[in-house]
Amino acid sequence: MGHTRRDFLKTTAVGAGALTGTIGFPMVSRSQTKKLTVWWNRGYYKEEDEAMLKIAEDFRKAKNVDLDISFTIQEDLLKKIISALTARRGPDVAFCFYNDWEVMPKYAWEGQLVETTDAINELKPRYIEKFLEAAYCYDNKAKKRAYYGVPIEAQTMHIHYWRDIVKEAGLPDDPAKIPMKWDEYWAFWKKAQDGLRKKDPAKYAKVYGIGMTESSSASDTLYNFEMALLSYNGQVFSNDGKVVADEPKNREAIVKSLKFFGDIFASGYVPPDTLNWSDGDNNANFHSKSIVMTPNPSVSIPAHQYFNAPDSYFNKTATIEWPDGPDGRKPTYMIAVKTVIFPKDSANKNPGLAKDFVKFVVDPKRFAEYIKGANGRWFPAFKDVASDPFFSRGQVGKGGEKDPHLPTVTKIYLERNTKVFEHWKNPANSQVYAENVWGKAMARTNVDKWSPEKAADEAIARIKTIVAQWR
Amino acid sequence: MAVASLVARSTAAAAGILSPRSRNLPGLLFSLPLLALFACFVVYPLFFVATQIFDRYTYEVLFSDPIYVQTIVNTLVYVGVAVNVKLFLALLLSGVLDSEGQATRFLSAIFLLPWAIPVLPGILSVRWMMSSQWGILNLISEDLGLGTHHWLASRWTAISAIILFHIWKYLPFWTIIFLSARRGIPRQLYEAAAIDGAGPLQAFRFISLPMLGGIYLICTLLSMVFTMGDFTNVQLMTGGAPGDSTHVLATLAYRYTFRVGKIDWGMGVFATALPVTLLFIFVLIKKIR
Amino acid sequence: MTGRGMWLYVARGAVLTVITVWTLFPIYYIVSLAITPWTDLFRPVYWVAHPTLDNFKFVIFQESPFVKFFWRWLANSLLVSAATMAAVLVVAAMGSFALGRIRFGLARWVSGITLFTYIIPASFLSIPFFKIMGDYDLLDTYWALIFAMTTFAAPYALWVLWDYAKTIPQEIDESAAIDGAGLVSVFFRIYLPLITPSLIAIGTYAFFYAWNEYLYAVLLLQGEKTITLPVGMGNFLTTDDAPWNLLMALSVIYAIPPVLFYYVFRRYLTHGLVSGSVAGA
Repeated sequence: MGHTRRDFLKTTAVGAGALTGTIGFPMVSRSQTKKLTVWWNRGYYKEEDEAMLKIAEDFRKAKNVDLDISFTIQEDLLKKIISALTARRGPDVAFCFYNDWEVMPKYAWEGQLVETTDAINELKPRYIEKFLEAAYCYDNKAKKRAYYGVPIEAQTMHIHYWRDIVKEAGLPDDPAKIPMKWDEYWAFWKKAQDGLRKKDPAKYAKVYGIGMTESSSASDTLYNFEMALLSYNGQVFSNDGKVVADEPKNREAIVKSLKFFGDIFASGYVPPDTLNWSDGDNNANFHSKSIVMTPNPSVSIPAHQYFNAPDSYFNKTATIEWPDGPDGRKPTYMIAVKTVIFPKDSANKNPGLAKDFVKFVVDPKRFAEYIKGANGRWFPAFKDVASDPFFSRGQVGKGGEKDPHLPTVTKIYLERNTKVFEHWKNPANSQVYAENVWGKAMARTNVDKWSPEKAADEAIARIKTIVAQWR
Repeated sequence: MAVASLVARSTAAAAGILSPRSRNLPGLLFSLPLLALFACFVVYPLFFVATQIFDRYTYEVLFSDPIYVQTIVNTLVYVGVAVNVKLFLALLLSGVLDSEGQATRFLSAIFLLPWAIPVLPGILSVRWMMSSQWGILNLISEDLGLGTHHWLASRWTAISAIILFHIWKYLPFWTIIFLSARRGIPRQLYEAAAIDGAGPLQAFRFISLPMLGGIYLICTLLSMVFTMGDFTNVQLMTGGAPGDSTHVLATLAYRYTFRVGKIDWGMGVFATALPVTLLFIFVLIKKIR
Repeated sequence: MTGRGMWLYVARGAVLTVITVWTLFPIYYIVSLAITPWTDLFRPVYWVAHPTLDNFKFVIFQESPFVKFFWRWLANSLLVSAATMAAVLVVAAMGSFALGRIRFGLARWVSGITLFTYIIPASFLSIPFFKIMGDYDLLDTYWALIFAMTTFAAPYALWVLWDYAKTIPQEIDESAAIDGAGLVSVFFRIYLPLITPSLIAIGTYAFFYAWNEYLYAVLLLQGEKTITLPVGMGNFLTTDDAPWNLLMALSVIYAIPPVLFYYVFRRYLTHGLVSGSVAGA
């Protein structure tokens, strides 16, 4: 860990007393041993962390390095990283699940991150290339755009639904039989709600067909909005970070998206509480069967079931894709790419060794063991690891049941178009997201009854202000 | 030699023989822990906050941010309503509790519980209670025919929830303060008033109120300053939701620092509130002395 | 009983009942949530249909990844609270002795500083505190947190002690001095023993203050083995598959020590705490 200032104070005291070259001594010995400090995000599962610890141990032995690795959960790790980078200290390697949204774009902008173009080029043949742009950030000090992180895994949008209650509503529950055209898809879930309420009014009085989070307090809302925006072929930022949301084509897409969310909310097929849901509320509602289906940007829902109710995981629920766009095209999926960063201000000043460590981590066999320990929560950014049968086959049930969740997710990554969240284009996007501009726009249409055009214009104006003020 | 003289001086000091000026040394020595804490952990951080006052960029951003303006309003409402309602109720309650009955003894056993219980369990309880889907308040309200409400879903009902929780938690403490202040009022005054035919309301108006007036004012100012800096209650109850509309100063500063990543703006929020706060503090110091 | 007396009696009774219900209801509610099994949690009910102690079992035996470090967190909270309590006692005892017994010229300044530190909202200094501790690499250490909490809890404690000590006549000090006792001796052998009841009160207060502290704990502690209970619990609130039942059980456990403390030291508390504030009038 960077003990720069503490050691400086200590050293000054010693020096002041000794008045000799004693000061030189600690610094000389530090540069002779190879030391590496790694801050890694604690995983959701024991197996992940154990795999990582083993990797660290192997690296220590292989390179004869004094490696110090610590695990912290993401909320706390984010604070740790922010305070370290603000104080211009830092570890050599920092991997936090929030790096891609909150850390990398901002600190690359400030010129505090080590450029990783060399490592990326070396690993490029193995990469699933569409993940790479997440790290292609702009350094405002060096006035250039380059790679400032090493992407290793990703998460994306999934739609989960209850097969058993869809069947009970009298509809086909097999994912292959559910219509994927835009209008018919959404109508399907509405029909499910109607069917259930008609079948058993007492039991299903409060069940809703579409569990779409439209709250300004949830990051799920942002995912939902971006997915809809993609379905309507809109974009907020250009690739070099300029706001293009106000261009007619994009504005129209934004208006249509807001209208879509407003319409389904007003239709009575979305729980009225979604306006106030936090990220965990759609999970809770799904678990308590208050909603038939829900879009969710992590596999937390099936993961919970796999450990607590495997019967539900294998037999009662399934994961299905986002529908084809209104123009008939297959959907493009938002992906959040988890990235490793390398602060420049680390005490050890060993960026080469730090990058070696990460290259060591993403070695096909080692990385496969690590990422499989996460039970499907993450998808690897490397073609060779992604071709592991685990991802195409998923978990296997006790009675040999097939996994109805993970194979769909793998298909999304390998066969569909994907788009990385736009924070890499412009770091101001993290403020746009922190303010949940789109959630607020939805509140405007749903609560204040504004027209989608008015809400869209307000949101676009706010984005432009935020971007203009970002320095 | 030096030690002996120090002992002699301290003895003399203890005996009150030395002049106030020459007792400064022992006085300061005993105050040293407090003064050291003050210098390192109050003055030094304040210095950082104060320097943000001179940063124009921070001002530009803050004042053009609609959330910032909302936050100021929220803070003023929270402070104004919560403190005054709480203290007024505390004053009244202290009158009700000012007796020795069995009921009061039972009550005193449980009365300070909200204050003793940490904030987190209390807030969790209230948050869950108010959940529009599985909270008990909506269950009660539905059974009473009043329909369901989304308590934490809109700005003003959420702020009311925060205010109610604040009162629940801190009312007992201030009630005890006023209670013991009341106990400092000589009984004879009340007895004389009763002989003259004054009822309880009149006794309150003409005896309790004037005698408690001074301490009431101080408690009000004090509570206002504390509530202005409240972080935990608001952060855990709403975290600023829905849509950043229920932030108060402290939670907004936290948000700028961690969710937006601009620590300077976080400090700037406090910098803008500093002048008013310092004013309150100096008024209070004068009044208390 | 006269008509009016009767009315008053009933009114008072009603008020006391309302206060009792108002005070106890949230406490009843969270305890009932803590004994509700996961499957019943998402249904609003009046009574807990199938009370269970499983949630407590999960927490105590650390059976869920969310509460993996429960015992560490508990120990950290205890450690930090005890240390703060000790530090506050030292600072407040010494400071109150200075202000109350040593009549020195700069006392006005010291009392002013004490009041200033007491009144200024701790949260105003929190973000710069975070930055300073970050700069000196003192984040994620107990020291940072203990110093912070001591700074904000000590002034009130000092004031309370000072006020309490006013009931002890100065003559005691003076006669001890005439017998040859130095200030330090007076402090340890006369002052401290005589203010013990108040020391107990402020010790309890300091313990509460530290145990309940959230903002500074959240800012200054990050390591998963160093964080205190409230920080660990607060982290639950941001994840999307939080085990609410565990959180409720954890909260109840978290609430037990201060409640215990409260009941044991109640007598000292209500008396001791009050004197400091009334001093202002």
